[in-house]
This record gives sequence, C-alpha cells and structure tokens, in this order.
Amino acid sequence: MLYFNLAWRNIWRNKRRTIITILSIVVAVFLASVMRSMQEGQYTDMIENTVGTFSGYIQIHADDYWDDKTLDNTLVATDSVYSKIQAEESVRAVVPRLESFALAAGQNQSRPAMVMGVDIEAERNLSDPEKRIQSGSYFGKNDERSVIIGTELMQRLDVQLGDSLVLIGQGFRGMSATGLYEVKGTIAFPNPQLNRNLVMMPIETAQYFLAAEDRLTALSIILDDTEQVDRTVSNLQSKFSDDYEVMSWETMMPELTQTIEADRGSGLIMIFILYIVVGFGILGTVLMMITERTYEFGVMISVGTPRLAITLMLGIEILLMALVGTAAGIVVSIPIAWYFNVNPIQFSGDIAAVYQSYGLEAVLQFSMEPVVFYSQAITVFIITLVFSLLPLIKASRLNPVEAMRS
Amino acid sequence: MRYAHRAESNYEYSNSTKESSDECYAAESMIPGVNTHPMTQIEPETSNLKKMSIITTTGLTKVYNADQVPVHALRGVDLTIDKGEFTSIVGPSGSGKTTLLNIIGGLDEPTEGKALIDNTDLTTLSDRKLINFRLHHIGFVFQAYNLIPVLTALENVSFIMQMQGRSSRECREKSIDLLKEVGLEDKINKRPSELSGGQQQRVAVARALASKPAFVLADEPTANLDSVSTAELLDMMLELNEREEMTFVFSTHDQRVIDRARRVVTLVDGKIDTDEKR
Repeated sequence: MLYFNLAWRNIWRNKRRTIITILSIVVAVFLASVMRSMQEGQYTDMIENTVGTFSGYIQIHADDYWDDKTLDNTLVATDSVYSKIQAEESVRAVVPRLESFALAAGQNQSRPAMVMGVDIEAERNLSDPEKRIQSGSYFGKNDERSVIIGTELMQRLDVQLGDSLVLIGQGFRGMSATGLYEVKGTIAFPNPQLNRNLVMMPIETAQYFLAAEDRLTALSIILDDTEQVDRTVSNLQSKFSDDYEVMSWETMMPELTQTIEADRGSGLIMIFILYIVVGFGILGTVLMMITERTYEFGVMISVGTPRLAITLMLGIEILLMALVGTAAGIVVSIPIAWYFNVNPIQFSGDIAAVYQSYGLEAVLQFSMEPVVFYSQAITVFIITLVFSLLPLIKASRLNPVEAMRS
Repeated sequence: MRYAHRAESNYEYSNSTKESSDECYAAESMIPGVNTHPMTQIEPETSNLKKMSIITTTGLTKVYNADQVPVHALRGVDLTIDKGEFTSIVGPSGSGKTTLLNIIGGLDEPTEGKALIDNTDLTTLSDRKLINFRLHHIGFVFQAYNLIPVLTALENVSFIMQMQGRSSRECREKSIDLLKEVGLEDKINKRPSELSGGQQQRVAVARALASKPAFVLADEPTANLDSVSTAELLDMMLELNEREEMTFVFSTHDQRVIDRARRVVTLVDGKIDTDEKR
C-alpha cells in the first residue's frame, strides 16, 4: 500500500509527463485497434462475399467430387442425410445445388456458362438471389422453363428479358443435355466471374436438363456461428465417413485463405512497426521520468529504501499508466469502429473497380469482434511493460553516490 | 574470511538487539527527561556504551581513477568517533570530506582500509545488506533536504519506519512525536513545497531520527539555510545530542557549525590534519 500510494502520487506529480505517456499508449491502442478492425472487417467481407453468400461454410459432396467435378460424382440426398446434417446444433440451413457447365446460345452469340440448379426457397438462405436480381424477377412456382442469367452474360449473349436461351451440354453419365429456356431475369454477384458465366435455374429443371434426377453436386451448409466450422466438419465427417466428402470453405478455397493470410501478414508488419515506434516512445518517456528523478532515487537508496522497492514503485506507476492508457485506447477505438461497422465505407470509381476485380463488394465494413480490441490492448500493454523494463532496471541499479551527484 | 564472518555476525547481533529494544524505544524518548534510546538500554555493557566507538576507520584509502589518472581522495584515514560526539569534519574542497562521509555512511566503499560502524565492517556487507544496514543504523541529513516531494512531513518521517516494517499506527504516532520534537507539530500535513528550507531540514532531521540510528550523518546541512534557520537547527541538534546522546557527524564549510561543534576533524589532501576536541 505504501508503494502504491507513492506511485499514485508520483503519477500526478508531473501531470504533463503522465498525460503524454498515457496519450502515447492511447494512440497506439487506437491506431492498432482501428487498423485491425478495418483489416478484419475486410477479411470478413471477403469471406462473406465468397463463402457466406455463395459456397457456404461447409459443403458435402459425393466422394471424389472435389477432385473430379463431373456429374458422375454426384450424390442423392435422402431425408436421412438431411436429418443427420440438421441434427448438428450450429447448422442453420442446408442448401442443395446441382452445378455443371454448358454452352449457352442466344440468337446471335454463344458463350460457355455455368449452370446452377438451385432450390428456389432454400437458396434464399445462402446467395439470396432475389435481392440480387437486376432486371426481371426471381423464380416463382411455374418457372420450370425459366432461367436467370448473369448481367454480363446477358450482354455477351445479346439477349433480352423474355428471349429464348439454348443450353447444350453433357448430362449425367454422358447423356446429351439440351434445353430451351426463357430469360426471366438478370442477376449480379460481387464475383465478376459469376456475372460473366452464371445461368441459374430451379434445381428440378437442372436435374431434368442434365438427366440427373434427384442428384446433387453439393449440399451447402450455413451455420449460425462461423466459429463452429471446424467442429461441425469434424462431426459431419464422422457421420458420413465412407460415402461423402465433407469440406470446410478453407479446404475448398485455399487461395482465399492464403490471400487473407498474406494480407494479414503485411498488416501485421505495419502494426509491428507501429508497436516499435510506440515502444521507443514509451521507452523515451519512462527514461525521462526516471532520469528526472535520479537524484531522488539516490536519496531513497541512501536512506535505506531497498532497490526492489524502487522498482516496485516505478513498476506500479507504469502499470497504472499502461492500464489507464490501454483502457482509454479501447474506449476511443470502439465508437470509430462501430460507426464504420454500421455505416460501411462505400467505394466508387477506380477503387470500386479494383474491389470488383477481386470478386469483392466495394464496401469496407469495420469489424466489431471483441478480440480485435482486447488483443491490441493486451499487446500494447505488454509492449509498455517490456519497453519500461530497461529504465526500471537502470533505476534499480543506481549507485546512490553517483545518483546524488547528478 | 574469518573476520568477514565475525563482522556479519556482529551485524546480525546489532540488528537483533535493536529489534528487541524496539518496544522500549519510542520517539517519546526524545521528550525531555525520558531517556530510553536503545543504545543506552542494550545488554550488559550498557554503562560502558557511552564510551563505545560508533565509527572506527582504519587506514581508509580511496583512489578514484579519473581518466586513468589516479586521484587519491583519502590517504589512510584513521578515525574513531564515540557515541554522543558532535563532530564536524572540515577541510577545503577536494580534501576528502564527502568521500569520508560517503564511506562511513555505507554509500561508497574504500579502496583500502576498513570502516566499522556499530562494530560492523561495512566493506564485508553485500549491497542488499548495506542498504538494510543504512536503514536501521544510519540517519542521513542532506544539504538539499531531499524529502520525498509527494509525501507530507508526517509521511516523510514515517516512510523510513514503514520500510523497517513497523505498524502504521506506531509509525504515525512516532512520526508525530518526532515532528513535535523538531518543532513542526503544526506542519505535519504539509508537503515539502509548502515548507521553508529550515522547516524542510527539520523534517529531514526527524526522518533521520525515525530509524533510531546509531548516528546521524549530515552533509553540509546548513548550506542552504539562512542564519536564523541555521541557529535553530544547530540548537535542536545540540539538544538532541546532549539529551539523547545522539551522535552527529557533519561535513561542513559553515563556520557557524564549526564554532558549535564539540570536535572538529580537519582533512587536508585526504589525510587528517588536525583533530580538535573541545
């Protein structure tokens, strides 16, 4: 208590120095937290754009489908399969899909297309196509002969709403697949590749077109808690060990994970530089604090104050300032991150084009994950203590005679 | 090694006797007519303690290697100071006064020779034990007062006792008594910045006495004081010296202090030139 009391009073003895020290900690936590919030928000967007709104966090395929994506490697999802998946606590929805490739032809142009059969109701849980419709309308009950195509594909094929579209491809087990459909609408995804290639149709229509009755290429799974991906994958793998392959989005899209990791790495380098700058700032302030009081410490050691007590007193001073600084840093960071979480930054022009070229929405939404803030606060707190160690050791090793001569 | 071991033992003995006398000794001992200082109470030779040496230096030599050129600050100083003496160490600048005080105060170590304080050879103590020894055996008064600026007068005095591990209540009561003793009972809650130089030096004396030291070492204690404050401080210290047999050792240039000292040791070029007892 004696040393705490001393430390507390010393903190307020030189208010300007204390405020500068605390401010440097606040600024460090603020910059690091906001930077991380922005980055993590961006990664969440990337994942949401590609995983949360298209592929799903987990997919179940027939064995070997992922390595050899042909209709011959499709599965038939029985009620029992659905039951087993939905028995998992974190599963919110299961979305069946049948995907293949075909040649799409309008009156004058033809283009390669990705044919995607969707359950028109279940799909609302994943890509929510109705919201992405650019022209025309989403599928209704009697639209078994209709397709919705990507905006860019529509331009390339030079077709209009209501025009006919011919699809020619290969169906299940080599069957010939041909069909004539009406263009009911156009759709746009953040992913430009989809906009160039996608032909969406009701799943029954796709199964008929591809001669793959009841067959699916994938069951996409949506989770309530994205933190549960690994656990759910593991549980499902044990349930479907022999017949199906259960894959997480990280396994299916390693390039996305790598892109995020690479970007996170460069972000960490920036933050590391920030830490170093802050660390040396703190080192300078604490060194100044100790140098100013060298004479005083000399006197204290002379009259019999144990060196450990001086270290303890200074340690408490630094600890208190670090605690106040990191707490204030979090308090200042949260409103900023919250504001940009609620009101994401909408990019336009060239920046938007760059985002779209990566298949991302041109929106930057900050993350409000608690870990973003407390991890930065803890890191800056530890940096403060580590960079204060040297001055503390210096103070504890003072020679009283030399100190009093200073 | 044998000698060193004996010296350490003496130190332990010295500590234990001081602790055993803690309950008996109180700051009240400074109150006129009450003489309960531990040094006058301990053990069989109590009656002989008055003649006991508090400080003994033998062949004390200190050489500083300033830029490779050796500077002889002390050249074999033999000095004995008995309990109850009021001694001024004087001499021109560079004569070795401060070095001598630093060594007998356990703040510096000699190049050669021994410094025995309270029968303990300081040269044999580790840094940690030396700090502890200073805490329990030596009271310091500095030229610039050197109180802890964030503590009140009362807290400055009780700080030393708290470090000695005494209870808060005891520290507070004894600190108040000591501040009364130095005439500052109405300033106990003032911080150093709210006190005059003379008052700060009185608090410093109270702080020096708080540890119940074997002697008080004062380095130019009046250098920053005006005539009135100097006279008052000297009166107070002389009274403590006479009444409590508190040993005071000064280094000073101040003729007012020299005039009132009972013994004046003059150092010239690191050697004792004269040693005058009055």
